[in-house]
Amino acid sequence: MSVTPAGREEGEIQAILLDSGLEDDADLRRSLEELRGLAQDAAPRPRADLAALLAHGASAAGVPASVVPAQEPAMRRAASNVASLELHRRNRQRRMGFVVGAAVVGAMGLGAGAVAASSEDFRNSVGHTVVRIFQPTSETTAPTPVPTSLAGIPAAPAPTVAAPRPSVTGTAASPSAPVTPAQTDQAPAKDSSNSSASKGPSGEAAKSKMPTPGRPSQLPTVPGTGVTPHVPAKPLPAVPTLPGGMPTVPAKPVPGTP
Amino acid sequence: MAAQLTDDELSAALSGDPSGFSAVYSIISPAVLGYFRARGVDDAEALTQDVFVDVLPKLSNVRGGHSGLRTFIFSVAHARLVDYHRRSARTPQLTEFDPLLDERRSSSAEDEVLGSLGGITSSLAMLNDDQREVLVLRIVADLSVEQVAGIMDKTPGAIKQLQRRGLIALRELVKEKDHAAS
Repeated sequence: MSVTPAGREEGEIQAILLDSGLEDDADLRRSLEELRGLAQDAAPRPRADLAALLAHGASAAGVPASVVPAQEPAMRRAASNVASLELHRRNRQRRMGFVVGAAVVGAMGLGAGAVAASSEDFRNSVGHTVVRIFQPTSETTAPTPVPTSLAGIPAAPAPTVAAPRPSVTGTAASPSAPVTPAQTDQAPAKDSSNSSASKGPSGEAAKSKMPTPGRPSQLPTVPGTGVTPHVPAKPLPAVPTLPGGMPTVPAKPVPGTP
Repeated sequence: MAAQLTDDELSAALSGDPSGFSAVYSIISPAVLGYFRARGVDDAEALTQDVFVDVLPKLSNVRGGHSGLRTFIFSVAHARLVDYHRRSARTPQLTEFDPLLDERRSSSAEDEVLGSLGGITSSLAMLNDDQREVLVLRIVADLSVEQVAGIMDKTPGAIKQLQRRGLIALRELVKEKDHAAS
């Protein structure tokens, strides 16, 4: 246990400094010697378990075996005594998710409400879009056959245009349904289908497609003589609706003929 | 180091003989204690004894003679230090009684000792963690570059680099302190 010659320690510090190319720094060397001084203390007095280990080397194997496992169950016991927060945390996280979702939805609603309150344009456009969304697709498709029939056949458009018109009145006013079977024996099936699906505009769309082959025989007279006298002759309640249709019918043949 | 184990003591320790254990303890524990003190452990003595309680029963597995024994003991000490730092990072901060606010006091010997130590340990505390570890293992634990590389699980080149940077940083800190003092 003799103290090693100071020269060896200094040599080691010198070697470390040389390694890093800092061998001529006296301040640094002093600091490192001071650092090495930390290891020059006497050995700490061994506590009970270590003293037992040092005294009875043969039973040494038994000592740590009794010490270490004794500590581990103690830790495990302590861990089992601690109430776990995991479940609570998960619940809180889920609740947090709901709260955040509700807050986001609420904030978006408030924002949209504020914008709607401030600008009339927005209100109008939203109203439009809502109406367009909730309108059945058949209504939007119903106008389209009119231009196609006009473009395709210049002479025939009038029948096709006139055909939907009475049907529209038929669907709009239920009394027309009983009238039509009385008048025309040719297409009772069509009319019954009318009356069955009287309210839905989809029925009207189906009719605009379906009746066209059957009707031409009746209707060709309509454009030749003039629309107004013929249409009232067939269904009585159709008269009020026709004035609305009137301006469009003459307007269409005019661009179609040239 | 202050002393070296003789070959007889070493072989006794490795064969599980208590006389060998006490020799190993009395010779190497000061270095382990200094290692823990240099790293700023609160209760360095308790940690040192933990290390030896852990290490001594396992000495029969140690290979590599003197340097193998040192490497093994400081590997365990390093692991204990890492554990200590992790544990202390989790435990709540202890606020100690501040003796400077207490009128009833006389100058304590511990304060003087700590004041003398404060120089290098406070400088070390300002270094990067790896650099500090390398310097302490090299100088306090008296290990070679290869041994430190084995303990820290790095290449010798990396250890040399860390040592060099640590020394340069330490030199700057020492210079600053000298400037401040003068």
